[in-house]
This record gives sequence, structure tokens and C-alpha cells, in this order.
Amino acid sequence: MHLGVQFENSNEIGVFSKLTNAYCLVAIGGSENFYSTFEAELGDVIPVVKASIAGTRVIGRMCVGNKNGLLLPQATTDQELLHIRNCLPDSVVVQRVDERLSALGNCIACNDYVSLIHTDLDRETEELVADVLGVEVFRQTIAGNILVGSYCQFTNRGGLVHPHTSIEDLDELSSLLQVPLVAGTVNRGSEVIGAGLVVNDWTAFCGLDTTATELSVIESVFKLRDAQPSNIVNEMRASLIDTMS
Amino acid sequence: MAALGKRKAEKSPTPSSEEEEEEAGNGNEVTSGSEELDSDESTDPEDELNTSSDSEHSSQPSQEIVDVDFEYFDPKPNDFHGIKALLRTYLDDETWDISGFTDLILAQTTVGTVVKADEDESPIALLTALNIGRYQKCSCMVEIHKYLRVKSAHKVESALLEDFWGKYAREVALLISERLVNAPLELAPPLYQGLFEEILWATEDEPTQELRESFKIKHYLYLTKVFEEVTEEKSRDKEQRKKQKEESEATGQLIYIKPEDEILHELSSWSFTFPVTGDGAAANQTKGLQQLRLVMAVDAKHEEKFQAELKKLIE
Repeated sequence: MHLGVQFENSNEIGVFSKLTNAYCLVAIGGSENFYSTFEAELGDVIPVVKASIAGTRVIGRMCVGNKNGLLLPQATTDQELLHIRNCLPDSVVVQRVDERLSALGNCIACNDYVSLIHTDLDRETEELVADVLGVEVFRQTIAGNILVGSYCQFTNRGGLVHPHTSIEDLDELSSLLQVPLVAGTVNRGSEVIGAGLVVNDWTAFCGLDTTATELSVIESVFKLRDAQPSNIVNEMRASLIDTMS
Repeated sequence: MAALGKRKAEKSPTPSSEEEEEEAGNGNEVTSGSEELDSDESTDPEDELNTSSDSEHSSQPSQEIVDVDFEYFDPKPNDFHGIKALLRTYLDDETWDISGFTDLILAQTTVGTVVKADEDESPIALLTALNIGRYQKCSCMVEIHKYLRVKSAHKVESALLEDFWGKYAREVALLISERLVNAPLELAPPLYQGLFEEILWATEDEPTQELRESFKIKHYLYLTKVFEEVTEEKSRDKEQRKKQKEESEATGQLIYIKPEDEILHELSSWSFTFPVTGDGAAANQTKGLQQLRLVMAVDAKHEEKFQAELKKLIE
């Protein structure tokens, strides 16, 4: 299931929102359309929370999270932290990180099991990522870019990376992350995947400019076609037998 | 500009024109523009730096000339993002179908020009004309119409504007001219010459009679940005300013961002201004300038006069 969205005429929705399997954060401001699109699609399954980080609306790029936890930059105010902590499920650990590279969303990409981080991230931050998000951490680059969070998006089922990623890199990353990866674009040729697309295991949202070709690539690599929200992780179902009968 | 002077001083001797000049490819038409950099802002220590380490090369310590070549192209699908960026503030902070509008411009290959430094670069300037009658039903044009109707609501020109979208729609073209703020003035004459020529050729070359008719344009409708001087006392006294806004439209001198707009405004049949909403407005208030939008209608008969005046302006 995929949806095209815009935030105040901008197609870079990954800048103004953060989507995981357990919650969704949305920036304040703009028309109510942005919030209501997320609310309509996700509202009855996971909480959709309006938030700001350090007084800014670029929350998608400032924070990183998955179903286990959420990391916020040090500049997040106490009020914002409290608000987010209150609105998110109790199982999600919310933590502020004192890190020089404060745009965590640009420096870290993760799903519920594995993460890729910026090569210059502090050791302490790396440990926090491993603890709070409950993931295995790898320092990597994507197509020579150190901002891994900007140039890829991956979930537990698949991932989309910068279009200029070589085949060897794709194979290496795929084996690290243990999910199928594809090199592609979003928003009509934009290479900044992290800004143009937010995705979880059953839904994806991308900018309105995204072409039909890009959408079909996204649908197939993230396996969204028959995806259903589910709290139980079904790796191998007996669906093969179901469809035959 | 001051920073450029500094960098030049630190590097080993290379003439500045070499680093800055962008070679013309096998482009269509080429215009060479010379930009004069004046480092008025450079302080004395910088001048000393310039002259001491680079004395044999900079015989003109305060002015450097940079050669840049601009080329004119038809809009291509690759220019989508660049053109969209130029059109981002076309309707201020209104949410509307900019992508659809950009697609219309790209689809019209017979009329329309984009200026770039090089074929693979982003567009610096855009000039095109879209016949209102032809594209009236497109959602983006409907949104533009609605926006202009709202902004002209209590004005005399409102009825004239409605006619342009109503009974005269097939004879009116929406003139779209957007460029980066510091683009050189010299770009304008070839741009406009190209536009009028392309429109003339289109009246002969288009495949169907309907399309040929659609380029027989009698009026141009033009939406552009201008500044209005707001004197110090007026801007400080909020109440007085509000009163004056209600009473009269142009309380101050209009400053045109694109110099040819002044000529167009003089030749226009009618025009009106309205204040800008959104981020731009607040920033410019403090400098004693208020940002406005100017809508004007120009009769196509004045094409030649306009081009002559524009030429004079450059020289």
C-alpha cells in the first residue's frame, strides 16, 4: 500500500516525518492534509504523533528510530522529549543523544534488526544505537556517500538505495542487512531516498512527484503489495498451501 | 564577493577567468555575459593580502571580471526539477499543482526557452507563454485563476481579469518569466526575441489549425515580483501604515527585480498589485521595502516597441 503526499508543496516528506513499525512522527505546520493522510492510513494500528525537534520541523532528518526505540539529538527540548515519550508506546525507549553529528536521521539508517551508521559517528553513539534500538551496527558508505540515512531507506523486508550504488556494494550491503536491496530513485529522479520516502513493513509514503515506475519498484522491493499490519512476525507462512487449495 | 578575492590571493597564480569561465558547448545560441565583481565590502587587510602575494597578477586590486557563457535551450524533461524550483514561489505559499504546471511548460516544445550555463546544469532562467484558452481546463491553470481572482477581489481590474479567463481566453497567453535573482540583464533581449519568434513560427508550423490559432496572441498576462519602498516613519508606525494600505495602492516607488518589467509595466493596458504572503514578506519589511506581486496585461502590438526599449536599457 503506497500513498503520495506533499508537505507545503514540498515532495521531500522524509524530512518532515518518521515512520516505523510501532509509531509515526509528523511535523507540525503545513496544512492538516499531511497529518490526516498519515492518520487515515495508520491511525488505527499505530500512534501518529505531531512533534517538533529543537523547535524545527525537519524531524525526519533529526531523529532515528525503530520499534524498539527512538534517538533524538541533544538539542531536543525537555518539553518535546516529554511529549514524544508520552505519546509513544511504553515499549519504545526514547533517548537523547549527545552527538556532534546531530542530524541523526541523515547519519543513521535502521530497521528492527540492523543499522548502518555514518563512518565518523562517536563510539558512545554507536553503543547507544546498539542498546536503545536493539540492532547490530555497521559503519558503511552508500555509493561513496557517508550520509547513509539520506541515501537509503530499508525495512525488515527490503530496501532502496542511491541509484549509483555499484552491484558489488549492493551485494555487500544486502548480505549485511539480510534484506533484498535495489538501487533506485524517488520523486522523479531524486537520489535522496531518505528525504523522499518513508516506509515500514506494510505502508510506504512518498512525494507526489514519484513516477509510476519508481512506485512499482518501491512496491516490489518492500513487498507492499499484499502487506498487512501484523504484530506477529510471520517469516514463512503456510500461504503456499493456502493459495493452492 | 569578498571571499572570492581572498581565495584568489591564497591560490598559486591562476588567472581568475580560467577558474570561473564555463566553456560553451555546441549550444544553440550563446550569449557572453561579463559580470563585474566589485569588492566594495573588502576591508583594508584583504586588499593588502591581494596586492602583496599576487601583485604581479592583479593590476586591478578592487575589480575582477568573470566571463560566463550562457546558452539557450528548449525546455527538456531533464529540466523538470530546475524549472519547478524557479516556479516555487509563483503563487507564494499557496499549495497548488506546481508539478502539473511544470509538465505543461515542458510539453510545449515549440514555444519556451530555458537559460543554462551548460546543458547538464540547472536552469538559471525561464521564459515561456501558455495560451490560457488552450490550457484552461488543467488543474494548475484553474488554481492560478482562483488565486488571481481572490487577490483581485476588490479591485477595478477584477472584471478585466475575468474576461481574460472567460471570453478572451483564446487570445490571451500567460507570460511566465522566472530567473535567479542575480541573473545578468543581458540575458533578457535574446530571451524575448526568441519567444516572439517562436510564437510567430508556431502560428505557421503547428500541425493543426486549432494550435496555430492558439498562438495568435493578442494579450499577455504577466505575474511578477516587485518591491515597494516603504519610508522609515511609515514602517515604524503600524497604525498609520494600515490606514494608508487601505486608502491607496502604491504608496511608494516601485522597484522592479527584473528591469524589463518596468518597460512592460509602462506599456501595459492595466495592472494591479497585491501584497505577498509567506516567508518573503517578513524578511523584506525591515529593510524599508515591501514585497508585492504585480499583475499586468500587455497588448501584443507593443512587442517591437518593448524590444527596442529593452535594447536601449542594456546599452
